[in-house]
Formats: sequence, C-alpha cells, structure tokens
Amino acid sequence: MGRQWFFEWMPRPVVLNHADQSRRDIRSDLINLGIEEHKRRGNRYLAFLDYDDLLYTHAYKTLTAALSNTAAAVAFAGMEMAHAVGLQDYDFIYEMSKPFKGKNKLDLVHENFAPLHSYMVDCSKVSAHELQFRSELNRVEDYDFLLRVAGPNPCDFSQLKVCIGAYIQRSDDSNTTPKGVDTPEDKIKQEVWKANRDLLNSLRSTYEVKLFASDL
Amino acid sequence: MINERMNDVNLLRASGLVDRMYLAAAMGMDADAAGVPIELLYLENPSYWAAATSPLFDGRYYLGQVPEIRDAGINPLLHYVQKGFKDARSPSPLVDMMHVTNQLIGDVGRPITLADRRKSLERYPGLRQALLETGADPNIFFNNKVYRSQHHAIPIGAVDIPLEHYIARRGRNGGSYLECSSIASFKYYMANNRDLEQAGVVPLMHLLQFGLAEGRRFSPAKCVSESFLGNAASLFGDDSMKTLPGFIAANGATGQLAGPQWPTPFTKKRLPALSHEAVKGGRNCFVGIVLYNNSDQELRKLEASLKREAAEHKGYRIRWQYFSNDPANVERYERILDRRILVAEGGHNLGFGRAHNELMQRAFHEDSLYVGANPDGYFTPGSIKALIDMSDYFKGQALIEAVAAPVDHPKWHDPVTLDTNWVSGACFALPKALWAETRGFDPAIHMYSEDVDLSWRVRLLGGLLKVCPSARFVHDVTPRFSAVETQDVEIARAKAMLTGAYYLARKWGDAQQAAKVRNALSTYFTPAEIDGFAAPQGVISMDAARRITNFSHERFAPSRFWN
Repeated sequence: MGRQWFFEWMPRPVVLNHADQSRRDIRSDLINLGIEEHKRRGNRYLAFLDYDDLLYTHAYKTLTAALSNTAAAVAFAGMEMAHAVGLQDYDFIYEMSKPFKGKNKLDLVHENFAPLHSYMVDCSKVSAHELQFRSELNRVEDYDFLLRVAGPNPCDFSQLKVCIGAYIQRSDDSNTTPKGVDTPEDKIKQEVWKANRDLLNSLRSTYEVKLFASDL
Repeated sequence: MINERMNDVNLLRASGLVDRMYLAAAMGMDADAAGVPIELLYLENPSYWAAATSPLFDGRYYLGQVPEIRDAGINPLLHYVQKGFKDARSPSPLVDMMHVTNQLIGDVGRPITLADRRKSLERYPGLRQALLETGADPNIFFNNKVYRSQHHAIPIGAVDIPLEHYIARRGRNGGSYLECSSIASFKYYMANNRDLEQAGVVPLMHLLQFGLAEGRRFSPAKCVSESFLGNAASLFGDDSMKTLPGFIAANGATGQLAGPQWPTPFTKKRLPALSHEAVKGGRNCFVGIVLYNNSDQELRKLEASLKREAAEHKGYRIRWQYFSNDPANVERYERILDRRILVAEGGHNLGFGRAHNELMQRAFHEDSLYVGANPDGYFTPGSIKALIDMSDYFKGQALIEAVAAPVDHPKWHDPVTLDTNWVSGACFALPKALWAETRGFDPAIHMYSEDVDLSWRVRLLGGLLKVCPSARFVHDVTPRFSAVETQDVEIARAKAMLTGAYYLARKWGDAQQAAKVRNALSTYFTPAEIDGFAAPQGVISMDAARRITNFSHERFAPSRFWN
C-alpha cells in the first residue's frame, strides 16, 4: 500500500496508531484494531497481509471473484513460500517452494495450511462478533481465527490452484515459526508455539465445524 | 669464518616464521641434537624443505603454490621471506593472503587487483608484523575476535597471534575443542566426525586441508548449498566454484554467499554498489517506453510513477518518451498521457527492440543513460535514481536490470556482486558507452530474446551485467504461472518466444540449440514458414560464443524458481 500512495486516484491507506507500554506481544491487538476500523466503515471483504510478505497483483481479484458469486464466507487461494537471505539492502530470494498442501476444510481443521494472506472473508456472511483475534494468543492466533470463522461457514477452496502470493521464510531465523531443528533459538520458539497450541487445543473443542458442499 | 648460510639463518629467525620446536618436530629430530642451529640443518638439506616451520609457514604447501622454486633449488621459506610475502602469496593453508589483504584494502569500488594487494603489504616487513599490527583474520574459518572471546586454559595475550596460540594447543582446551569461527563449530565438527577425534587431528587444520574437499559438515546450520555453489560456478564460468574450497579460493572474504546461512557482512551493512550516489554531472537519464495494446490504467500508473520520480529527486534530471507500435491507439494514449507519442513512419509496428532503438537515438543526444521500461509496469519510489547511481558506480560499463516486483525475476543473480547471466528487457538501464558500441537491440528480433542477445554482446565487449535490487519495477508476471491468463495469450507468447530463441541460437552459433528450438517451433509453424524467419546477418564465432553464451540452461541462466 505504501508504495502506491502516489496514485492519486486510489484511496489513501488509513494508518492507525496503537499505544501500549507493556512489553508483551500485541500482534492480536494490532490486527483487531484494523478489524474494528473495517467494521466501522461497513466494508464487506476482509483480508490480511503481514508487512514482510508478498501478494501478487491478481490476488484480491481472485479471492473476491470466488466470494461474490457463491455462498462461501471464506475463500482460500494458493500461496508459495519464498526462501530468502535477509541482506541489509534487500531480501535475496534463493528458492520457492509449495509447502502448503491442504485441499479442503477437513484438511484445514486437521492442520492450518493457510497463511494469513491466503484467504479473504466476506463479512456479510459471518457473525461480526467472531471477527476478532484472541489477545491471549500470540502464536497460532490466525489459526484460531480461521477455525471460528471458517469452521461453521461455507468456504471456497477452488482457487488453491492459483498462487496469489508468497510467504517469506528468512534463513536468519527471524521468522517466529520454528523450524524444528536442534538449536537453542529454535527450541525457545518451539516452546512458545507449544504453549499456544495447548491453549488453542483447549479452546477449539468448543468451536463448531459444519461441512458444506463447497468445503470439499 | 662464518658460513654465508648463517646470514640466511638470521633472516629466517628475524621473520619469526621459524618455531624451532615446531620445525624440529616436522624434521623428526631434537632441536639441539646435532650441535648446530636447526635452521642451518633445514636450509642445507632440501629434503627438509617441505617441512612446516611454524603454524604460519608450510613448506609443502608453498612449494605447491610456487613450483618453479623447487626446480631452481631455492628454499621455500627464504623465498617467501624475501619475495613471496610482498607478492601476497599464501604461505600456508592456514594463512590465506587473499583473505588477509581483502581486510587490509577494504572496498575500493572495483575488483581488487594484485597490485592493490602488494601495495597493502608494503608497510609491513613481514607476515607476523602484518598480522600483529592489523589484527587481520588469517583465513575465512579463523576469526580472531571469536577466538579471543573464549576463556582459554592458557590466556591469550595482546601480542600473541591467535592462530599460533590455537595451533600450539592443537585446537583444544582441556577436554573440549576451541572455537575460532563464526561459520564453523569445531565442537560440532569433531562430534560429528568421530574418526577425526580418534586420529587426534587439529580441527581447523583438518577442515582446511581435507574436510572441505571431503564435504564434511562443519556446522549444524545449512551454511553451504549445492545450488548456490553450482549457480555461482555457472554464473562466473568457473567450475572450481562448485566445491566449497574452490568457492573460497575464488572469492576469499568478499562476503559472497556459499549458501543461505553463510555469513556475509552485508546482512548488517549496505552493498557498496547500492550505497553510491552518482557524481553531479552524471545525474540524468532518459526513460523509453514502447507501447502496444496497453490499457488506460497501465499508462496512468506508469506515467504517475515517472512524474513522481522526476519530481522527487532534486538534482537528478529524468526525461521520458513513449513510442507506440500500435498507431490505432495513439490518440487514446495521447489523451491519457497528455503528451505527444512517437510512431514509426508509415505507422508500422517496429517490434520491441527497434522501437527502443529509436528512443535510444533520441536519448543519447542529451543523456548518458537510457532506461527502457515495459508499459505494463511502473517504478516504485527511488527506482530510477537507484539505476542512475548504480550505473555511475560501475562507471557506465554495466547493463543493469531493475528487479521485478512483487516477486523477482526467477533467474539467478549473485546476491552480493549482483552479477547476472543476462539482463531482462522489462526494465533495464543501458549507459551511453555500451550503446555506442552495440547500437542497442538487434533490429532483426521482433520480440523476445533481444534482451539476452544484447546482454551477451555487452559481455563480449567486456561490459558488466548487473541487477539493481534497490530499483524495483512492478511488473507482475505471476498470472502467467497461475493459469489466470487465457490460452490464446499463452500461445501467442510461446510462439514469439520460440521465434526469438531460434534466431538467438543461430546468431550465437549453436546448431544443436537451433535444431531443438526449430523442433519446438514446428508445433506452431510449417517448415516453410520457419524457413522464412529472419536469419542473422552476422554469426558470432563459436570460440567467442562459448565464452559468453549459456544454452545449457533452458532460459540461458540458472534458475532460482522457474517451473
């Protein structure tokens, strides 16, 4: 968005500030701030993008097309992983892979295969109160959101064959996702993830999951 | 009467490169057993000359580096002290003078020459003084700071050379192994190579002399990648770079990457080529855009980005001009852009290359750099300035590619030197000096492969091919790979690409490649139609072409993520 501000005919991005003196991870609070602004404006389509990931130019066209002509409340599209070396001047992408293997809602309920920017929500078809991230989670908070929003509603997985962006995995271990390797840094990440997974597992038993024709 | 050899003995002693105990062990005797200085015994008997005289000098290694002195009957250490040091020769596998002198010289904005290396050593009487006074690391796997940061059983003094301290302790501290590298872990190396522990080797010495060539792992992190090494070997035309020892020998400590976690200082500091600002007289460029069936929105975005670039960078002059290959749309283009659009005489479609050539002619009347840009993209802020600055850094001798956004062009480029096999025509910067010799694109190529051909001709002239990561041109080709486009569009593109590739293979003298492409063309064209395609006017000699071209890769360069 920031790179397009010079196109005068396009809407200017809204930048919201969030003040927090604590040292806790406030990623859920930040994303909720955006969601509340989205609701306040009465917008229909909701999607997310981390500052360091990529979307291709046809991304939202692909996702909105999947939502506008169907009953689906959440549409998913394909995502690839860009493996990068983070240099001071730029991210050098040395390889692309496609590790996100899920195909439908059954796969999604089993394990999260949808990066944050790979899906879009049609807010006219979901309960407004579900549209928020849990503050008590600072990992897997996006999976928790998906289980609550996608679980009980019809979804569209027909666009998984179309790659709409890339999740950037840096070789300097700056991603918060653990690699499962035997290093002290990764072990800390694994512990944080496990604590969050345990909390999510206790919460999700109360979540409703419904299957529709478009989910499979 | 004093044996004249004693003068040489004194020279060796003064160099500090003879450790009497070390040498005696290498010669298999007691240092004082013969009743004459062991240095004299060493000098007088050539059968001892292969010995390592200290941790810093290895006779066998040096004789291998300078074989002519063996035949001339010259003692290797004496040669090194009198001549080899000043010539920046490496005296041991543990002391890589390319690495040492790189640290002494720093960035000079061009490849470091042997003359630079010699000059950097002029002020030091010998190796020990150079290492002591500068604190330079002796090789890529020995970092003085890392070594000094450990608690040693025998503390290291400020006047000690850390490498000597390490070797004297055989890389050990009690029952553990000493670390001396930010790349390798010698605790890991020895734990994962039990045979070495049993053999009692000095870990660093073993790694440098044997371990690297044997492909032994020296770190739990994935520091080395076969694809990085293979791509570097292909890009620089040097097969030795396929192995880590060859890669290190070719690059020393330039910060180039052997793999995704190979340390490079450029994670924390800027690349010199990207932190340069053009000199005042060189802050200008002309942007040329060739139009063909473009939408209003595409043009509005591109024009807006150009206006922004021109307004934003004070002191930089950026002009631009459009050339239309589809006269039927010219009126619409002129209305949207509010400016006159160039067209060919008679309204012909000149093709991509010839239209750019027309624009280049106009550009170089006043400007020193031509930036060609596709009409279905736009510049992100600072991109054109970045191309101007980088062109100046390479003194107008580089054809430069702006990287594509949102995702890069899939061909490989060196992440640190920014070299690439060819420069994409989607957005490129051609300086006047290279245009004067090449006259731009080959006019016989209507579309596709003309950029590869121009790149190869630039290389033939000795010019450079570079990528500029701080110039990001939004040109999203991902719809091609995601089945978003129609089949008609895909077929038209495939036909044009193959036609260009057929011409390229014939021009650059590769009959096998030409036959292969002709076979692919037969899916779309009859033999008679293919015979009617434009033939190259001049064919590059096979010898020259072999140095420049690379038909072994399907798209003329190693891939990062094609397919």
